[in-house]
Amino acid sequence: MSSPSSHRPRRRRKGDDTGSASSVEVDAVTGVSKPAFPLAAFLWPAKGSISQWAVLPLILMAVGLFRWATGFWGYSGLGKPPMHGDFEAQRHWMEITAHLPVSQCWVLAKIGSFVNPLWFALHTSRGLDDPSLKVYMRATVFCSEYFVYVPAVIVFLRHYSRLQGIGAWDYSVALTAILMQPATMLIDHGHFQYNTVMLGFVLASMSSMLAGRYLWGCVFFVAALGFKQMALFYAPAVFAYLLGTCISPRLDIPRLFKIALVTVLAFVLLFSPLLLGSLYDSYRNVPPDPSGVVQSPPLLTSIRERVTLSEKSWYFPPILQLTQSIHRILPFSRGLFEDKVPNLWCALHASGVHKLHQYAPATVQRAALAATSLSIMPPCLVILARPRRELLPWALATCAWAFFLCSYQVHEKSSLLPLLPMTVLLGGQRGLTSSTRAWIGFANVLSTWTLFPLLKKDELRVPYFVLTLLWAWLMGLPPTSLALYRGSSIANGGLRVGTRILHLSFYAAMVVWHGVEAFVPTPKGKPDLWVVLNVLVGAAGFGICYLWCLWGLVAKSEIVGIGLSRKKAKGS
Amino acid sequence: MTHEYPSILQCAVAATALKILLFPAYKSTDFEVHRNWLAITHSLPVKEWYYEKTSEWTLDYPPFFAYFEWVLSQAAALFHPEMLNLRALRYDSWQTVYFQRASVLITEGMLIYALHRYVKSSSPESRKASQATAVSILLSPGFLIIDHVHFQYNGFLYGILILSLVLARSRSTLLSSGLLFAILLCFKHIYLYLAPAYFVFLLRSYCLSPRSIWRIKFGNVIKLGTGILAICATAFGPFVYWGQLDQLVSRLFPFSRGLCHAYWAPNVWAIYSFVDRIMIHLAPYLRLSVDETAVQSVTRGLVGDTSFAVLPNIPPRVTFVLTLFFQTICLVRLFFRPTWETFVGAVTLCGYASFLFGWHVHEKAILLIIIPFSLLALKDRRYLGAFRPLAVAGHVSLFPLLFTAQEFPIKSVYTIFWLVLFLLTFDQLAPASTQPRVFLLDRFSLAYIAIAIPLIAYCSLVHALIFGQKRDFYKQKKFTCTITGHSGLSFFDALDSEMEGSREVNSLFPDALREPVLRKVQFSTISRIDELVNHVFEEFKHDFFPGEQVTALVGDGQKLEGTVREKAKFPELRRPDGSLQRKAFARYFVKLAEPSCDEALLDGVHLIRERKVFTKQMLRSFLKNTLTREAWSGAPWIVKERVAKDYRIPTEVPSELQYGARSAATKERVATKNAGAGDTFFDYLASQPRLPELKPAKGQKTKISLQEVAKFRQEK
Repeated sequence: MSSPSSHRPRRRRKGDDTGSASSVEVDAVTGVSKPAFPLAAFLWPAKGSISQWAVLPLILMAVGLFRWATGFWGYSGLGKPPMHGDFEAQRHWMEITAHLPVSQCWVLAKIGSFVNPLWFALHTSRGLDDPSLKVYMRATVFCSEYFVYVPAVIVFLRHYSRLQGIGAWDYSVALTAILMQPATMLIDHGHFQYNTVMLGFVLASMSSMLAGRYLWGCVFFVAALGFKQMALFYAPAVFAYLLGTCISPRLDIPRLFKIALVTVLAFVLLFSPLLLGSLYDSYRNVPPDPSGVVQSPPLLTSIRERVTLSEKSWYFPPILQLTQSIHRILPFSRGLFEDKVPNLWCALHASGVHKLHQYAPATVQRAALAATSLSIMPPCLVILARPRRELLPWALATCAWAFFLCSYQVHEKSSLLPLLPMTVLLGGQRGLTSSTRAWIGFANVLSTWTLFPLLKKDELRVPYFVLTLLWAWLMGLPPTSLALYRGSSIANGGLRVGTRILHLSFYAAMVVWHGVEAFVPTPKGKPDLWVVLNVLVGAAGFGICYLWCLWGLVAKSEIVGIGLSRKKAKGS
Repeated sequence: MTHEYPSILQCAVAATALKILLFPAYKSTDFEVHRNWLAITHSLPVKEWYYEKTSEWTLDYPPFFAYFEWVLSQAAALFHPEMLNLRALRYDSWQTVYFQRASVLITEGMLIYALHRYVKSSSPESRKASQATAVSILLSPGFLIIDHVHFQYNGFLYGILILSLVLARSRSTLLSSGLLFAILLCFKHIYLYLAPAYFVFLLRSYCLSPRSIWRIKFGNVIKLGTGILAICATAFGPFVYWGQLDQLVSRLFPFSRGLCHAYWAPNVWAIYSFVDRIMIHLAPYLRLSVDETAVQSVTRGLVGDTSFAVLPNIPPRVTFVLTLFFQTICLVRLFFRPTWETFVGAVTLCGYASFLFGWHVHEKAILLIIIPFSLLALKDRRYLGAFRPLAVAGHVSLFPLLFTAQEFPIKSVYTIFWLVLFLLTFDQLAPASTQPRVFLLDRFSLAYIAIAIPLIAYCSLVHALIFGQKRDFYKQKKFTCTITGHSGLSFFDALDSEMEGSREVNSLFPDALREPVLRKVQFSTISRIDELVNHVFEEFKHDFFPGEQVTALVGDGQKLEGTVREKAKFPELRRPDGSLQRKAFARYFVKLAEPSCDEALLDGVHLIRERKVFTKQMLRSFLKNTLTREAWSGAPWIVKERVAKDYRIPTEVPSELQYGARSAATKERVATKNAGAGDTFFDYLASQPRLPELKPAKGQKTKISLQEVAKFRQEK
């Protein structure tokens, strides 16, 4: 990283000072520029002569410190014997992958058992809460994030900001803001999950597509899907975009063919350890299911209704494996929503407007499918018609919001998915101006707030308040600062009155809710009342976020002049 | 007037966020020390503060700090009174942690205020540099490690020190600077190390006329003198009045402690100790006498008398003389050039001298040098050149304070972050020196940093990996050999024992018995291995199998070796009325070994196995070696696959013993239990005759089996 690369930002910085660096506020009277919000103030000294190669490690170290310190607090299921929660689930998965004959072995678990074999001794180690194990597990999240997510964010943002003509300094500000996102930090490093790996692959896929490397985009996206099926939230938009690039500006059949081939190959590669493992086991005459515990997955049953399959044949075990993993991964056998999720269904159900359990599960499933298809239709059609690179984050965000709001079996944690493409917009054109910052900040604060009931269960209240308030303060958002909502008029890049009222009433609701939740006991017979309120406010806010993203997508795509003005009125 | 960004307040907010996140981090005994002081000051009359010794962490700070703890304890009483109990040693409920950690955070406001005053007092052209300095002090890894993880109140105390130094900048506030320092001394007496610089500076620039050292300003002397006297009287007056001064002094200055602290502070005496260690090995060649009793003590470094094996011992007097000598050098210069910068330099050097040569120095005292030096570091590049190695070595020397794996990334990443950030910033801000630099020293400091970084990496990461701190765990004597059942072994011993045991079992356990035993135990649901062993042992004690080596008792009491050739089983016979006609028994054809070579027809009573071959212990080891069992309750024992194949034992688990069936049955049982009346117990017995988890008197049974085990051990 010597001269050639460190020179580039320096040359580009000249454009910065003249251009509309949106995180800088210029005093109208004195003409002195000053940082518009505290995060910009922290990076203020980097505006001058310090090389980006010194700034980047510092940013990474600083956000790393906050991440690791978050990990000092409780995790999902700490000291709660029956279920143990996500931490135990992940540890148990490691245990399984390290031990069972199915040859898919997870590298992490192997390293872990090299460090201390007692953590993963199968069958004896359920519910282990050893502090050094905690450190190890935290370290795996940390390292996987720094190997996948962080490089992906850096590279994506570099592509994106270059595409949008954003200067190196604004890039650093946006990067820090994205990496300090409270929701992601709290869920991965507090609650304990490996979401950032999946999100990292999605970002890598997006940045490959930005760079025009569609095939790599496919591979990364399949990797994201393979790591966590939740990436399906983005799949329609990605599909529509890729299809769009093959259709317009002109029909490109070879590209379509290549994309399809690479996707299939990537999937095969992904499942090959499982399949090869089961083939190998059947070669060694290990029955696929030695204890006979697992019932045949429903998909397999329905296949066998049509085609006769012999259990003794060589291809039976891999098919069993495949169908079993599909059955495990896609949770059709679970309910419409788990716990309380701020989406359409839960809001409908919990608010008492319409109780959903009177319908058969199949009806509800169909309704969810219809609603989801309806809501993902607009973004997918827009990106299909105008497959432009700078629209990608908008399309992905809109599509993911649609899924989150309308689809089946959603976790409250899934709001991380729409948040990510929405938050990376900070690195785009006018990304740090009042209006965009206010909207993205609103979505982030709201989504972290809807996670509060979950985080409270994990004893993560203190990190929740610290990280959320810190981020809000860094970005100059309520409740720490009202500058965005008091200041300049629309002409100077300020917010519309409608937006101001909307946002401020949501922020007020959140603050009041915290007060009520902390000090007022729920009325008798309604132990979940505060959570339900949280869900209702959250769902409404997320609906607005969906509309804002959709409006942004339509506006940027310049697809319809008339539609634009109509949507505008709706959006803000 | 332009502002510098980020402002001190902004940095303080961000740092506070991180420090709050660090609340649950490791805390040293200092946490308990301070909690105990809260309890002492809150629950005892002032008279007894310096006599109380329920806890080993007695009050050993000067009175102002005790008063400070008293104030805190008033707030603590409102917040969580349980922590103020003198007897509740090592009490650390989360309320206590929150309260104490928060008190550190809040009192750090003093530091923020002092730094703010410092920036305000600097000239406009040096504003930028002062701001950088102030932020560097505020974010110092020293405070993060010592105050917010390890636990102390240095932020508050150094805030007072900096404020005092800032006040010394202006002639009009010299008096308050001196008085503030006196107050600081009454908070923590470690600042006595810096007192000579204050004394000389105030003497020269406040008590003597600036024009001539022979003209004394009596007015100032009286003001300063009465001020200091008043402060000391507030602090120590009550204790002098009660005649407790001796006790107080003995608490404040524990000279019974050794030359070096438990962790060697990186000073001259550490090098001295190190040289002594080397001399122990060289002594035979150099014909020096070695003090054998001292050989053990130095590396231990525990609080107590440190004695050296080869080099002469160091009495406290020597350390004083050395410290004073090195302090005098800079004090002389300060006396003749009493500028503020010389003064801060002298404060730094006094700190240096006492750190390097002092008696029983803590590694934490390095802040006494770093903090004042930071104020000077940006004066010009020569100062910066000297500051750089200090910043690297000083902060790294604090690392041993935190030794837990969880805090390792915090201390190292934070320190690296700070070093990169501020060494880069300082490098940009420091103006060139007016005087030429000394080439050699400059290169030396560069080389020092270049060597230090890999060395630190090695010490904190690689060394432990190679020489294995981790292995300590395995060396603990808390492992059990599963085959012999011996406990209290180290991991490696247990592993050896298991390997040895399983080899022994493989070679010794009678071949002829293996298959029948395995057939017997396959799918057995006796979940405890002890019971299973007892069960099998009883059954096989008098049952023999073809191919077994036995001792036959022939008619005349003669004992002959032989091999069972054939076995005939005669089943139990019952009369039509159900009474027993004949017990089941077996007859064996035994081929007797030489010399007779006869065959004998014998029953089980007249056959004996070799004692050593078929013991409960051996059986247990054999079973442990060959069986597995799933983790759910009621799971059957299953013979390991490769063994089962050898003996052609069926491995298809009967459907009623599979997990699914079991859980279904359990559910059903629960359902009937919920629905039915009192006789479900018998229903259950009837439907699940062999369920092992049916233990009405579980505790008792376990006890018996434990006793049995004990008895068995004793017999052995």
